[in-house]
Amino acid sequence: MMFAAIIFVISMYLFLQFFVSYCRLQVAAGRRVDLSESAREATGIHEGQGVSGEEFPRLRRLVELCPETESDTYRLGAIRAYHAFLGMVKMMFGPMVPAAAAWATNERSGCAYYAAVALDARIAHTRRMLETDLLA
Amino acid sequence: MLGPFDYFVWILGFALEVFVVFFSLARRQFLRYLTLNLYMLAAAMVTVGQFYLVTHFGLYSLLYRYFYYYTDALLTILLYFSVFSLYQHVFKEMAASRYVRGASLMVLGGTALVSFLIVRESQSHLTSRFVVQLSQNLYFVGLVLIYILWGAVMKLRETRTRVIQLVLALGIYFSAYSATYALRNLFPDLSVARTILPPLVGTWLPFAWACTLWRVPEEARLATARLAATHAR
Repeated sequence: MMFAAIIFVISMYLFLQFFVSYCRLQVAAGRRVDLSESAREATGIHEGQGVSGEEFPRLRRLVELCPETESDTYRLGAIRAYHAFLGMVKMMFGPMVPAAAAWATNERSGCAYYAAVALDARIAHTRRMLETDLLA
Repeated sequence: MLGPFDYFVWILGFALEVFVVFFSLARRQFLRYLTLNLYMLAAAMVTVGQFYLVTHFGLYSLLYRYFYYYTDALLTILLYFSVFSLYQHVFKEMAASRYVRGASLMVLGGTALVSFLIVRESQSHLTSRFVVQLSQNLYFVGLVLIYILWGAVMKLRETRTRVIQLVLALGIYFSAYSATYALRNLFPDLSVARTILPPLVGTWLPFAWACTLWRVPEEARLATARLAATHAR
């Protein structure tokens, strides 16, 4: 029993480490993508201007309005969980460790940008679908 | 009884396993990630076997149970080979293949020996509790191996996004399974750890690998310093 409990604690700790790193990888990849003009119009994000992490729920709702593309729902789900996790980190450790709060704020902003990039991809996908339908 | 959710996750997992193999073949990457593809192929075959046993003998039959747990243990050992192949990818430029091969043979030999000793000790009571313990230990060894690999990735500043993503996906898989089996050992009656978590975690690996192979080009690069869980930008 003791051995199982130790394994459980270590596994959960490492799971969190791997999960955070995996989500950071997705967010970092998202940051490299430039938003199109139409996505900027739809989201209200201006060029050179950052996006607040608090915008994430609004952007996610916008994403949900567009048809799904290339099974991005699973990854968006992971980013959503990551965003919620960061919110907890900010709330629990923010008052005591300002660096943790700053890190969480920056990462939440990355999550919001990731949602904007996903929205951009879905808008482009919807356009292509409409064009195909019109040509057919 | 299996419900629509169980069948959905089962079929999704199988479809993703087959997708990884066919996608690799179509892109001529089958040999580049040979052990990963062999694992996916074996996992797909095991899924077919499980489906056959469930439909012919029932979900609660002893035959299905033994097939499930022992193929799970064999697949985990097969997955070790995928971990070692990722070690070779990471240590490629250091020309350390010989050492990786040696270390992998030692780990596999050690795992086989320990498993054999455990089985010999428990021959008189090879219960489902025993196989849960064996699986928990096998997944935990996998987790340790992948954590060491992740340390090497960070230390060597590996930049290949594909390799990083494959390693992280394996890390999540091993840690989630290890935690699930430990939970089952701690609370044998906890139904979430028996019915919901295993199929979800099982689908994660083919999904993450399929996404990686499909979406991340071989030449994509990323600075690993950005990814450490404890690193602030």
